[in-house]
Amino acid sequence: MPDKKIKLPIGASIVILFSMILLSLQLMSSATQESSQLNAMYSWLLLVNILGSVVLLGLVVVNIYSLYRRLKKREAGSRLTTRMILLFVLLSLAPAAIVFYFSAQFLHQGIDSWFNVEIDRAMEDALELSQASLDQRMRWHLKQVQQMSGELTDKSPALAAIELEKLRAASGASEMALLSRNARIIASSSVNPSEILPSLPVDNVWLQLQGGNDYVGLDTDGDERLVIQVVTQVDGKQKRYLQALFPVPVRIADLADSVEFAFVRYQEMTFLRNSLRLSFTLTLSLVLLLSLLAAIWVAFIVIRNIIAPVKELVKGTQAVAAGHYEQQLPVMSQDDLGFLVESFNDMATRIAGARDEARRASIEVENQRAYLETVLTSLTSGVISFDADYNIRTANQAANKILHTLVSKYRGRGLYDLANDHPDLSGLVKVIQRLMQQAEDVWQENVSLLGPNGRQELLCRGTPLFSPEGRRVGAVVVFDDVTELIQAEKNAAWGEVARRLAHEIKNPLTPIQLSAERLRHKLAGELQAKSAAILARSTQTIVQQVEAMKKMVDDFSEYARPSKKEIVTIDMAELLQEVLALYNLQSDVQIKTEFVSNLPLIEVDPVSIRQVMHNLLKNALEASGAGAVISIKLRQVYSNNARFIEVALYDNGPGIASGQLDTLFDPYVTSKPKGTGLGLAIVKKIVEDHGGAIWVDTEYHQGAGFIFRLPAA
Amino acid sequence: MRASASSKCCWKILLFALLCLPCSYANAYGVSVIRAGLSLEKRYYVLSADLEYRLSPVAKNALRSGIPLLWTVAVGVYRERPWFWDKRVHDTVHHYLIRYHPLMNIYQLKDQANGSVEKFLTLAGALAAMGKIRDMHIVELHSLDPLYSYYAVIKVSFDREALPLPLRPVSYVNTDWFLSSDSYRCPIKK
Repeated sequence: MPDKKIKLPIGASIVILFSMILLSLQLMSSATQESSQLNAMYSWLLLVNILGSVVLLGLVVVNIYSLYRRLKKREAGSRLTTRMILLFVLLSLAPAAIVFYFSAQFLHQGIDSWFNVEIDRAMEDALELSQASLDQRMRWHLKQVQQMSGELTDKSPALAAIELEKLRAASGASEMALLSRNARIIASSSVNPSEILPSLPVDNVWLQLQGGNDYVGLDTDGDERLVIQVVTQVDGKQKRYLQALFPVPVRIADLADSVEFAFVRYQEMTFLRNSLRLSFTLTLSLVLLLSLLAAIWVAFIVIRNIIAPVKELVKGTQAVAAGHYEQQLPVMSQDDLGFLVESFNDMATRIAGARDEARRASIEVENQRAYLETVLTSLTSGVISFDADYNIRTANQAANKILHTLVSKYRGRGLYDLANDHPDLSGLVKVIQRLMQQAEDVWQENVSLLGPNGRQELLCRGTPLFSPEGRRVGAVVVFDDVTELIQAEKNAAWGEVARRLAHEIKNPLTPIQLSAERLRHKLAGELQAKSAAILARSTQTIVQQVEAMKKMVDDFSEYARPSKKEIVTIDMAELLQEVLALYNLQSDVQIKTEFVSNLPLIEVDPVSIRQVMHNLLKNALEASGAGAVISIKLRQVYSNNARFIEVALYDNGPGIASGQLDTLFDPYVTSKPKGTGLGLAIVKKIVEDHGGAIWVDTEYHQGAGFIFRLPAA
Repeated sequence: MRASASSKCCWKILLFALLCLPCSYANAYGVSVIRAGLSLEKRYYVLSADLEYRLSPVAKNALRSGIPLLWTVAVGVYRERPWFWDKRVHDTVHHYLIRYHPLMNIYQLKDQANGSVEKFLTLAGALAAMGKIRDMHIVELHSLDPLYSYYAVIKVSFDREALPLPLRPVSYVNTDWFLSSDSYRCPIKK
């Protein structure tokens, strides 16, 4: 079971605190009454109240310091607490200060109003009157005693006692005593027989008597009644003193007491005037201080409780802002703040639900994206998507494979960055970029490029992407490597042509040739010599032309027939040397070679490659004629992360007309009167069959220049 | 850091000065024990002492205004203990009240222990009489263990709580009302 502190409700705590303060202040107020039994405890009560004030001040200071630290830390709710506390202090301090000021004023004025010169004078006059009245009586009694003392001159103690009794009774004294100079009682008489010993004069009186003076003064008897004491010297042989005590009439004594009491009281009050002011001001200040400090402390507690839900709300909001949507706050009360907290909890729950929903949707989208990526990855077609600025967004593995580079590496970059790093792709990039920017609909284009494995034919299809609002948001380009497909189609087409040629042309040639020979054979003897000669020449021409046509058809069949390659690993330099050795024998031909040493080997059909070289050399020789200068360069090049062996062959002939460049490698394209137009077509076919490429070096203008590349082993 | 240290030092000096202030003023007014001694009279140790009461003008004015002043003469007997603080074994307390009677123009000295009242024409006479302590019974001889050493401590305290209520708070802070004596220790000879 968790520990649970028993906490007093705040309301009850506040009531108890204020009750204690009120009780303490009430006790102190009661103590100021002189009749109160608490009067003796005034100082303690004052001390307790001062200590209470100090404790409350300490609590307030601690709370202020705590608030200051929270403010410094920018804790939630600290600024609101400060504002509320300041407001509360201002609202409570202002009226309290006004009340204090006017109360102090009234108090001081009230105290001052008790005193004035007239009362002071009246009091002094009253006392003086009393003293004058008593002085007159005292003088009269002194004179009376002085006269009576003569009756006691040189009387024996016994006679003196009798005389004293008579004198006391006659004079109305309450007590009379005859004393020796040593203060010894010689005789005495009292109105109260129970008082055996008379009261003796005090030292001061004796001092006065020893100075030769009589003494008269006021004194009190054993019952605290006012009496007139008279002591005179008795003449005689021995120095004696007669003391007589005369009671003051009750009325006069009461009046004198009353006057003295009032005078003393007034004098006391006059003396205490400033102390009274101070005392009342102190009490009033203490009341104000205690009340204020208690109120401020309670304000701290109350405001802390009011702010607590707000603090929780701020913390909760921060937690939600940080993504902790499961945050639920305790509902402390059923008021507006409680409603606010409930609303917050409801909102946090809804946000958490929405977040979970979004997360599920995100996972679903991610799954679909992964599925799409898997599909795209498994596609044999290359797919590249672009954003609105034509920067690459995605590229599948097939794209990387077809373009022989990691296209996805260029994500977020433009196609031109790809072209800068891979110049071989610049042709493709230009076409795609142009079509993407221009096309408003689906487009399709065949693009050739020289890949690491030779010339590639790409079939590119692209489509712009539009947002639902019709805004262009990007594009998708799909491309397929159709090199083999086109090659197969070409081969099939040429095969069909060859078959048809064989069927349609070659088959009638033999009967034509046989018929021509038969005509010559049958008619040679029957015709005249001149006619026979014409016949012979004509039939000869027919036979020759038929043979030529047969050869042409055979060549064409040879071109169209799929090559049967016997691939071996060879050194291209050696092969070139072998071929060139056949041509070096011709005196009118100058062949220059420029071979780079230590070239990698290649895997080719040597027979086919020799034919390529023969065809190219034959073309060069035919084009250049006598004095031909043929330059052959052999080197290694890197392209599309692959090594190639590049052979460049240049002649000094008339060169190639620019109009022939596009169809130069097609069959039956020739500039020679007797050429079949199959030489370069066969060369191209062989090179491409080996995964290489051949093109015309258009930068070379001194004659014709051909460059072909074959992949290195 | 240094400012904080110097500030602390200043506070300490100020506090010390404040604590010392009443002590320094205590010598101006108050009560001094001029002479005191305990002697064995029959079975009792009795105290004879001469005290000097010096009243401030404010206190004299208060007295003349009718405010009675009360002193307590307390004599404590202590047994000496070597390893612990000394044990108080006996107390004798006498209260003396001086009051002025304007009607009779006399000062009245009252020993509240026995109720005896003396009257004096002058304040000096009353104070002198109050300062003359003769044969005040302190402790019986058999109350003291002969195996231990004893001494008496005389302390005269002015009773501020006997003052009128408005004067009490002031009397605790105003040196005019610091009218008590220091403790006076006198040995008890066996």
